[in-house]
Amino acid sequence: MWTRRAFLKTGGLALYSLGVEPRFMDRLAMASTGDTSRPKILVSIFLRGAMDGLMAVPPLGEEQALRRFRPRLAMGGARSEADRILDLDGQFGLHPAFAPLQPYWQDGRLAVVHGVGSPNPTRSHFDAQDYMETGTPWRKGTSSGWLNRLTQRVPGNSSSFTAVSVTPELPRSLYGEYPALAIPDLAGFKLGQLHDHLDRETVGEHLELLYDEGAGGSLRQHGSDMFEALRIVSQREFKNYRTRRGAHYPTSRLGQSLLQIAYLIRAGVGLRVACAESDGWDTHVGQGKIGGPFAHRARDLARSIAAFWSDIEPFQDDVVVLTMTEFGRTVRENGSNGTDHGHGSCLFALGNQVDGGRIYGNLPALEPDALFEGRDLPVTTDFRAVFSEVAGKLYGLSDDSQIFPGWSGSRLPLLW
Amino acid sequence: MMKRTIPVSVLTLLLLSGATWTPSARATESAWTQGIPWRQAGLSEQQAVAHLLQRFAYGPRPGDIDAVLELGIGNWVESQLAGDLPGPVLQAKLDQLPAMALTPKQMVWRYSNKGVLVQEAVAKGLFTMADYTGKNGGLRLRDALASLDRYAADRGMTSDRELLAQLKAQKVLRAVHSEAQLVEVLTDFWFNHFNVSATQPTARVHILSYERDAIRPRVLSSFRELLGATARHPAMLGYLGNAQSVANPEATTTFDLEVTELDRLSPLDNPTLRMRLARNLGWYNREARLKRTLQPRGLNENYARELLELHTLGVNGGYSQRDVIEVARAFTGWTTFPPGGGRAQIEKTLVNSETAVDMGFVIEDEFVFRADHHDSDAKVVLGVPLAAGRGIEDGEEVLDLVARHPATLRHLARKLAVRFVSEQPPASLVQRLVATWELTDGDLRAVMRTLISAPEFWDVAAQRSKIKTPLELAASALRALDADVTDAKGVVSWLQRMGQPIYAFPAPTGFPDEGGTWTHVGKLLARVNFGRDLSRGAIAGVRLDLLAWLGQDPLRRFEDAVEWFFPVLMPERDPSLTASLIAAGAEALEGEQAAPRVLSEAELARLEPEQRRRLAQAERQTTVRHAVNAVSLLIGSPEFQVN
Repeated sequence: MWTRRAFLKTGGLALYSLGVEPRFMDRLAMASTGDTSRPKILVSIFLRGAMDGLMAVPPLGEEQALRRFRPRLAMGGARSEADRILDLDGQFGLHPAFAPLQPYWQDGRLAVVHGVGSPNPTRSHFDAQDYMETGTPWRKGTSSGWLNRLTQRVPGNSSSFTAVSVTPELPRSLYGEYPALAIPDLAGFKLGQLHDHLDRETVGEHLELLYDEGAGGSLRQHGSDMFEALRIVSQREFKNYRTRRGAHYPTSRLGQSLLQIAYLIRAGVGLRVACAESDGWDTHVGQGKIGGPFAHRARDLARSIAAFWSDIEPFQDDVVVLTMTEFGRTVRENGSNGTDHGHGSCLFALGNQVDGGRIYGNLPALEPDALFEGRDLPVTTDFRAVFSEVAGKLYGLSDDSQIFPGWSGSRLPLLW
Repeated sequence: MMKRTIPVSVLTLLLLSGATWTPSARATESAWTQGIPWRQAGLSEQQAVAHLLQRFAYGPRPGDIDAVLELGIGNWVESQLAGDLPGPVLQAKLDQLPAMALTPKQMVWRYSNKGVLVQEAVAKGLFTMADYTGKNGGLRLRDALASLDRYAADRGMTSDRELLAQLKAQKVLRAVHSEAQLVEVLTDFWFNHFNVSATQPTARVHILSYERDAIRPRVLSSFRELLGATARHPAMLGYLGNAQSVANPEATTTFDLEVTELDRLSPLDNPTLRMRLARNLGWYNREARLKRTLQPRGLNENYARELLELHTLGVNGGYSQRDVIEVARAFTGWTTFPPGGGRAQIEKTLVNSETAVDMGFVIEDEFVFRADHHDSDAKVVLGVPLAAGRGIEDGEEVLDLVARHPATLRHLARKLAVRFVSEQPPASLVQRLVATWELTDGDLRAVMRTLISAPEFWDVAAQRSKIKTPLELAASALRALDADVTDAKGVVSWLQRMGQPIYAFPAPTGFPDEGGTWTHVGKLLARVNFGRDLSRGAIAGVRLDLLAWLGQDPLRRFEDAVEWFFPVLMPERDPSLTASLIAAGAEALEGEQAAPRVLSEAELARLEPEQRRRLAQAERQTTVRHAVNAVSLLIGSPEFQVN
């Protein structure tokens, strides 16, 4: 039986001011740092278009070979300190545009995996992204993405905000049974306007009542989840979000996505798996060295991650940031001062739990015989060996076959 | 054991006598009406029509229910099954979309991507690749870019984004404005079943033709025909990679067989022509052969796998990985023209060439069967041996086999039952559909008759049990309110926000047919907000006149407006639960403030004309405001989410 009191209790976006805590609030997330039982968060950044791993993290000992293969793209002969390749470990360097990430390398929480990629040699962006995001490099028909299968198994995955992609559309990796959320922009996550605020309240409150008392099954549940999610977002007013001092996000799409992910983490809404992406890595023409599209993307990536990392300072123990890209690029430059679709590339993993300051994986000598099909970096580490390590260690999962069906390889030890 | 019910045997009779619907065939109406068990489900005739129009159309427009009753339910179904209903309103709208009238080849020509265009321009000698990439200096680069622009303009070329925009627009326009509603609903179902995605660049330019030429004309033909049309279409060939599937190097191709016969041919058979053909295809050019070995060659199993797993037998349909490989071998050589310059070469060699036909090549619109890529060795598919030495017949025979396989019948009968009846369809319904399928060898029109006349469809458990897809939600709202979609872009973008990026579901599975996937948090919020934007007239390209729905009497209270619009949006639904909750909610919200007092006649008479005018104006404003709020609320309400 419905009563006015019940309505006042259940209904009403206006009631969040009463401070009713949503059921899935992460109280733990609000606790002080250093608690190992706190919920973990994976932030996945897909670099679409295929990042040139050789330009990102060049092997220092192969300078001669690089000059031979890519005379117009090989770095060196820097005019100033800022243009110089940063030395990582004497063997590998870092493109100067990634400089904002160097401190994390130095204090051992940034790792690089080189020669990583898919065993499937396709050079189609579409196919390779598809295979990487489904986690099944030989199967087109896999309907769910690996991050969705992961989310299904992540402990404490009961929030509407457990899996969020801050992108216009849900990425393939989050498609699947688990109801992941795509939020292009948190500022738009609210009931739309009618004539004025009062109308919104009226319709909103009646609507909540209809879902609460007049719906059954999944609709009732989803209605209740929606109103709760709306309350959470409006309660923690995103428009007033203050980044921490020193967190200067680029205005790029990636920067703004990471800013919103940081907000969700700090707001303690139960986020476990987050996605962001950066595109424009398909540098066929005029790839550039210190300037140009590659450096532009790299700088954006590094600055965005650095801003994010300082923004979530109290949560750094809980978060791992993992970049990925569908394949690498040709070792030789092409006729347009760029590089074409290749095979192996590299990725970055950042987190206090990452055994960083090290290069993982293998890179052969840059000689035609050692290259894949005589032209590309070979894939020496299956991307699943990295993804399963990060996901498995982070969330304490042991059965990789649930997330990567059909794969029987072993994890690459990368996390503490 | 299948129990033959009356409707099935009536259908069988209809089918065997070859009867099709004609306006004068009122005689069949009584058989249908008696055969369709809506009364047994406790429905009124009006409720029955509403249920029918929600599932086999995109919801009723004003007056539709009466019109169907006038015609007779069975006659309506038959007129829909006949398919070709004139639709001048829709046609006028489709005429605004120029791509709709293009042939597949024209589309490929007009909407190809920039890379292809550059290749062509280079092949035509307009500039060199080095000019284009700036290797020869800025001046040459500038000239190259200018001549590329000229070339694109001469060619009448436009970006493939424009083609996609028109493709998406026509789907919305058809759902809202087509008279042939059943065809549209079925086209949506079968497209999703044989899904291809615009997220895949090589399929993109072919998708409009895929739906228009392969699917829509066959949704009421036989399943085998529909399957065959998808198998040959460049959208599918490109999307699932069969276009790149080539016989393994150790296999003997159909073409090899023909070439080895060359010596034995009499001069009348014109071996020179054959040799020329071989040379043009790059087979007797040493350099080309060497190059060939560098390219990735061999089988691509994707299409074969999805054909078995998704299109026909189903995931537990009893096939093995060996079958997948054998099926892939059977489809080697099923391809399309390569994009760009390569196309001209193939066309020159194969189109209108009797020699090519003679040697087993097949060209049919954009479909190309390359005898030189087909593995002609013997195969065994699902236990059935396919003899060596054949060409395109291999693939056709595989399609025959899988189209009629018992697992396919079960898989598809269930999928149809889920789509049109309920997410947990009774086994009796699936059996009923399988029986008709068997009896008619997959006549989709007969299968639809069985579905519509099945008691399970009319059962109370099936009513209001399915969550609408975003397209169904949008189209049913637009139709109920008699909105006019002048430009579909706004609606298309809302579909994406509601979680249905049409033509761009990224996996070959198609959108899942599970209600729960459409209403989770973000998507439900988008549905609610769609209702808000629609009701306040804020969706670009949609003309909606809520005032036309208002009567003489003002709507003084929000709950009056909800009561007024409920039957507009949901005719024949029971409004009592919604109404009582809204009334109770309104009372709680307003508290002691009762509804505004209505002036009596006497009080009105005492007002100055100006006061009266202002009162009327104020009442009108309140009425409109309540109307907008009520429509917004109702579209977002749980009741409107289901059909």
